[in-house]
Amino acid sequence: MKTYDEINRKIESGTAVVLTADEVIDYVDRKGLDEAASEIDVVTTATFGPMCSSGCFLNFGHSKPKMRITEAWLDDVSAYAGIAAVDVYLGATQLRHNDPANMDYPGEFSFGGGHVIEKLVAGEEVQLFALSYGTDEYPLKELRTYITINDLNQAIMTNPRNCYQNYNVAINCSDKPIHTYLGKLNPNMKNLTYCSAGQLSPLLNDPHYRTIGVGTSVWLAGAHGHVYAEGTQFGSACERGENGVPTEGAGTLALTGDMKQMDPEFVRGVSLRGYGVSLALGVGIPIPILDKSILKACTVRDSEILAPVIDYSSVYPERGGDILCRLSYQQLRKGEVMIDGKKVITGSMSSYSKALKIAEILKEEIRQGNFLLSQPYQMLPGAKSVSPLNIKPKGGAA
Amino acid sequence: MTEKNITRRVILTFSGHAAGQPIVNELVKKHDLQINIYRARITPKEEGYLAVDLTGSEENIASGLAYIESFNININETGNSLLWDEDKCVGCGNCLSHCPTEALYIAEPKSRKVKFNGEKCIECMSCIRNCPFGACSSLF
Repeated sequence: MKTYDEINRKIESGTAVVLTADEVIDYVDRKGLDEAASEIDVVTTATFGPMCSSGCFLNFGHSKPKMRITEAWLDDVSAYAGIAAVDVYLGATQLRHNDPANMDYPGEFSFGGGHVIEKLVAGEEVQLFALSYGTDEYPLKELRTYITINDLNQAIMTNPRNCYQNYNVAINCSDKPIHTYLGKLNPNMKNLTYCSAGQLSPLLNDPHYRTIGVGTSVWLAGAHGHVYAEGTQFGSACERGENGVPTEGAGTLALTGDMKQMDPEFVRGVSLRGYGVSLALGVGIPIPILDKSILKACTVRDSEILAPVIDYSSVYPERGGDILCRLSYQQLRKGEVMIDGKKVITGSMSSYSKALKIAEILKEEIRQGNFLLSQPYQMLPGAKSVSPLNIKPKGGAA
Repeated sequence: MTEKNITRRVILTFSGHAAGQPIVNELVKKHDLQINIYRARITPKEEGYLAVDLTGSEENIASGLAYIESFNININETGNSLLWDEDKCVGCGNCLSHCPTEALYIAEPKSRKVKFNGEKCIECMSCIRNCPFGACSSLF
């Protein structure tokens, strides 16, 4: 048994034993759980993929004369200005003004909120255009200028839903191609797309949220951020395998971090034909090895994590519950799988190679004493289910 | 045939006045080359392009290229007109199920890094439409 303080003291003195969630599997196999648990202080987990519920609060500072911005566009992408005078929230999935979207199906969606965030983090110049109705103390009604992230007082990434614990595998059972946020799915189950770092993914290594909670320090695209709340659509009351690992979406995390400290390699705009724009992010989360059972959970392998295969042509859009089958990430990573006797080619939307790189970077930062762990001040809810939205007449029963 | 056949991929860029010439026909008949056209766009009075594999003896390929050059056609021997930007590629693997020839492939199973093999690429452009990160683009 170790405490957060003991582990942090070892990190500060540069003596902490840190392994990635990938390395720890073989290590525990070799050493045995007891010995490994006493040796290892931290296991680093990571993921890299599109995380649509992401965005950032930006503060521009005041123009002269001053302006209470009511509408704002960054590189023609609208940012929410219904907050204080020169604050906005720029969301990852916001389309560029005049984007034809799916009018010419499937739309290209070449640029949007996620791409503006990528440009800001890369230090590139972005055009700000803003409008206002004008007030006595904020007389300016219109401005156009060019900014970089260095000109902003704050650029705080604030993401309501990141790091899905597990995720659907999307397939198309219809006879026409469909375009989804998991890419193009060819008819008659020709291909499928999965999206998880599997055995490296943070919440799959801590399936019951024993160490990851509100206040946990995280590596958010290079910045030292933290979990600020349970993620939206958090659903811990989900189906789980015998090992406790969810076999569907389950838990999520709300993350925040300073965009000025981020590395552009891990903040990337995403264009999904026929669907829209998004932002791909790299996240690393350290798991303190407080006891044997926490370490045991970190030895989970791709072969032991199952994801549900769902028809995105009818079941998903109709909120149906039918699952074609469950496949392990080991099977999914083979490039092809058999479903109902049919060969299906597999593709992924989440980058394992980037996740591996992040787990290594975080491992080095911890080893060198540059990244300390924090004990959550609030645990994530253990048995929370996700409610649907019922469309009903005013005053009607749910 | 005594000489060993080789294959060379070239991209020919035409100016408007070369468009009327039966160049491919000449390459086949007079220079004894096999031509595999990946992409072509040749319109009279406009610039055009032809991305092809030329297969034949080294000597015939050289004479064929000299013939092409006589029309003041630009010959690009750097390879593919489909460009893959390693820095933009994040290695998600979404392209893998759309690439029909495995030109885009997982280099090592452990790190799952994606690589591009230009020789296998048939320039179908499906990676351009399917890459979420804009890592694939076309020269034309």
